[in-house]
Amino acid sequence: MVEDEEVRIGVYICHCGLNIASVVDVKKAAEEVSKVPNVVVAKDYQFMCSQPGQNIIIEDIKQHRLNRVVVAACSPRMHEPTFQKAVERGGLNPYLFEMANIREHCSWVHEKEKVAATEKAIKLVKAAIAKARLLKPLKREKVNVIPRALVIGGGIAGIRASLDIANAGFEVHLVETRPSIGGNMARLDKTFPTLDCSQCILTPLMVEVSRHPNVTLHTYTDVVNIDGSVGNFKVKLLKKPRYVDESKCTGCGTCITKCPWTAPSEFELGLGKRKAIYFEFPQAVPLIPVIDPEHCMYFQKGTCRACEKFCPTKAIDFNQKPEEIELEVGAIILATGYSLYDVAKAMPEYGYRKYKDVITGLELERLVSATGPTKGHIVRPSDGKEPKKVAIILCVGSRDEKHLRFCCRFGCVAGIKHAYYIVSHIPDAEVYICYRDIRTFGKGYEEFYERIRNYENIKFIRGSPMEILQDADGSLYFDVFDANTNRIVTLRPDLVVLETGIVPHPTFKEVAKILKCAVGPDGFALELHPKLRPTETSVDGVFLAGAVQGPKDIPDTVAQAGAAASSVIALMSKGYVETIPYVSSINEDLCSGCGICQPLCAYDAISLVKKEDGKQVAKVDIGKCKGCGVCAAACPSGAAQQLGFNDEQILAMVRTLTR
Amino acid sequence: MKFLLYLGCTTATKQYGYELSLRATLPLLGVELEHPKDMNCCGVPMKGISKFYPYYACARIMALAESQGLDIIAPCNGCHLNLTETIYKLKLNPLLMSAVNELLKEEGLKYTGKAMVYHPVEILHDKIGIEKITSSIKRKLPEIPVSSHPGCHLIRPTEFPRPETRDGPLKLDRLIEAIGLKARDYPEKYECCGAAILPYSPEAAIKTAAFRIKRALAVGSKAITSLCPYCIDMLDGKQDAAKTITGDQNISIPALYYTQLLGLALGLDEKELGMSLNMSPVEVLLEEVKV
Amino acid sequence: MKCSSGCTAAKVVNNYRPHEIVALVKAGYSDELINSDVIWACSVCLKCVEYCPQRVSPFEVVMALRNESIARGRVPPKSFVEMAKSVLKVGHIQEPMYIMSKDFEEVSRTELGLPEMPKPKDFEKFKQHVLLVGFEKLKEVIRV
Repeated sequence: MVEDEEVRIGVYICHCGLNIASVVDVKKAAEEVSKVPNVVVAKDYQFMCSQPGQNIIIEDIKQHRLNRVVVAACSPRMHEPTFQKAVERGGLNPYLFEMANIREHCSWVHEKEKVAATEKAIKLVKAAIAKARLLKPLKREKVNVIPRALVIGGGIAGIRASLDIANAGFEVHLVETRPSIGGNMARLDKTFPTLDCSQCILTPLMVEVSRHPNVTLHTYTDVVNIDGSVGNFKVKLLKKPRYVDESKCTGCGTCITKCPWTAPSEFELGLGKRKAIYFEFPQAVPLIPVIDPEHCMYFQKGTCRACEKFCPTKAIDFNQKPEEIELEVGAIILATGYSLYDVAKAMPEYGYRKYKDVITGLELERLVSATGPTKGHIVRPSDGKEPKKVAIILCVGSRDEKHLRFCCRFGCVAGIKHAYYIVSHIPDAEVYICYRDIRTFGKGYEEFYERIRNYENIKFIRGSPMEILQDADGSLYFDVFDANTNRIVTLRPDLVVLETGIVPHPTFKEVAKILKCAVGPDGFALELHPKLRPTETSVDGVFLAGAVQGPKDIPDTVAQAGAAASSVIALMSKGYVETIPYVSSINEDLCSGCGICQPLCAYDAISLVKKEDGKQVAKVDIGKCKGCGVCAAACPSGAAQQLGFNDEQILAMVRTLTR
Repeated sequence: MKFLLYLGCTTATKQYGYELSLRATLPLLGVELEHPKDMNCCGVPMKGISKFYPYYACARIMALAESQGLDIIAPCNGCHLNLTETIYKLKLNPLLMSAVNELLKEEGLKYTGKAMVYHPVEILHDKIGIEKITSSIKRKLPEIPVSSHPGCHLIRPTEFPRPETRDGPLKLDRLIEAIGLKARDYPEKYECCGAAILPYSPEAAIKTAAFRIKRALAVGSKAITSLCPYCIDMLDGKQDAAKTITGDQNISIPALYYTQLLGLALGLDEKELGMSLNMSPVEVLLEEVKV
Repeated sequence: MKCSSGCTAAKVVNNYRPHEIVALVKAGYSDELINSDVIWACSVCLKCVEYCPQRVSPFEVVMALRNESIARGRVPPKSFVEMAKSVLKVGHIQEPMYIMSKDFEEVSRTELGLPEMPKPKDFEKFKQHVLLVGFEKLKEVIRV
């Protein structure tokens, strides 16, 4: 493309079926813009993004010797890449293309003002033409992808994704903040709808991932920093001290038996106790204990050392320090999972943590588990007695405008499963499920619901209580309106199980801040497209698996983990990525070296360097630059310009729009 | 500290024990009370008749306070909420503000939004303070378990700032303990006394009050106390009716204003505190308190 | 339906169900409610306002229905009429009463040494304004 070559523009107005054409007079728009200087051809077509639509562009480039193309259609977020590829197939540089958004910015928002909408559409297209005149060819750079992946979070999502990548022959580093992998699934006793034992299906995967030659496990480790971009991320991990030498420990557990000090168990959600030196849970992977200095007498008072004395392999090391680990990876999977909504704080009306016999569904899982604090006996926390009447309340915090607006997507079936736990352990117990709607959308879920509904002693009450109260004798009671019978029922349950809503695990917030990846209004990771790109984030090379993206049950989590893994595998098999060309560029002749841009750059892409003649200028690292344009907006001398969006081009659009 | 005492209808027309005990105790703690010369109903029970009346009525009350350069003490939960709501709604809605002022202008009044409204629980707990109360009392009352009943409008809605929090702990409970008594929680403490159901169905209203009394008795409380004339009207004044309606003869517990208890601790005479006007067996409590 | 689970009035008034009132209004049956006394049963405890997961306020709906019923000239339950009459007569929902004390004495404010209960100074103006802000229709109903 020669600089002074005559500019020949082709303009294409898309009907988008009726999305645009029912509001904007597309024929008139095409006719109007055909009169604009440099426009050689202007056409309208039903679906520009279709194969025939793209072919029109390709044909016209050849036939009319076009050297710029403008498409007026939907948002560039949707189809810019489609048309860039078409332009490239037509033999032009793909960046000699400009898009006008006359759907989201025009027809969809001005449905009732057809005349004005047509005028606006014409203006938008004219502005795009004005910019197109000034477009210059841009180049994409190839960057090699380091064939190694980082997976953050060692729950079922992280484990499954790691195994898939490792099995494809690539190296994986799996990071978990707790001392063992397994995540929330390890806490479950059974999984719905098949009621197979959760541990039985999870532990083989835990062992497999830990033994896989391509997987390096970093448990009890946090991600402290991530730099770089797709293909080349530099990761800093911080391994917390276990005070146990992993190379010497055999996992015999003698230290734990001998330790005289106890603390509430994190894994048992405070329902049970653990020692000051402990395994996260009996099937922990790796089976290496951790010392909790807050509860260890040696750390607190300088005495005891029982674990050290009795360890047969001399693995206890009180001097262990936090260890920094640096890694270079090509891609990252976020699989940080979920935490329960803080119902104690946010919904005090339900008395969780105030009344001992109000527990969460996850806590019930621990009470049912054979390895749990009660060895699988369902008892009330207050007095250790078997509950004969149990109320299960669904949607606690979920689907609530004042709490979490979204559905947790597993509470209903979990609640139904929990009712089954109760009646199968205590056959003469009565269970009341208080629900708003029962949502059993997963495969086999409705059949499971049907099966549980047949139990005579499981009753479904359509309604939620407003509050749970405690009587003088310590017993719980509440009123609930049952829409099925049109009666207000007073229940006096021995135990109340709250199926609480879920929120992203707190580690996600940290990682999202480090990565600068988009977070949705609900706090979960925002996927690139809710339907078509559900595993990608706003940051190239960073993918999503499981509940980090939003509430999910196990089947969906595992499916998404596989999808995220295959995205990583695709990236690594190809071996390279092409950079975006819309980066910032500094005109060194204009740059005064004032440095205003440097601290403003959110991606740390700008540095100040001295040229040979001693002049200080700003320099852009195009590997890090994301093309946000902040430096260009801030630069007082116009030295910083964003390629493809430079001042001249933007001002040409503004001039056209304000004419 | 000088305030305009806006009593509201219920206190001024029948709950004289509240007014007497307020007038007897607050001045001893450094609070001067000005009696208004012109006053009207705040509009709480009239909300159903007209949603605009309360705005006019409350703005009028506050304009009267402003004309005297005073803030208001509103001892009734209903009045306090309605006045607070008006302050907020008029602040957010200049049209409503000017419409209301159009009317007030004809009466030679103007509401600017300057006047503040306080509930006795705020005056006692936040303005006077626990420390001053503890140091002012003549004698500590014995550690008798007493249940507080804050009343709906003291704690709800969270949309407007309320004197007490919806989920506790209560200032009223700290005040109870400040004079030596023991605050005893009971399960329906944050529930409604039922007063506003009275015009529709006295029987339903009294049943509601009976629930509360029974719960307080069940936890072993020796008295119920509140700072709302509606609540005490129900919990104190309707015990005999509750016995008849529910058939439960055990419904019997001293129910009285906190300011009456406070007066006893300040060494005041029960007559000065209007305790002969309470319908519930307050004499049982007086016996225990005197020992 | 949390509102109907926790509603103070619903526990003692059988046919009062706040969720049902909201649902009836949404479905276009407001007239049924406006012509029924049940909307006057609300105890104004505001629990429904606080805990509704959909940020609906059944209380506000009920108050709007009451207002509408007054605007259409319906007579509310007697006690409400009495209170409204009193507001138009003395500026308060009722006048100071004689109270029977424990010593079987009938006492009034004066006997207790309490100052006189104040009335709006320019009463005619006040009354005119009260009628203007929504009591006008009621005037016909209760004939004041």
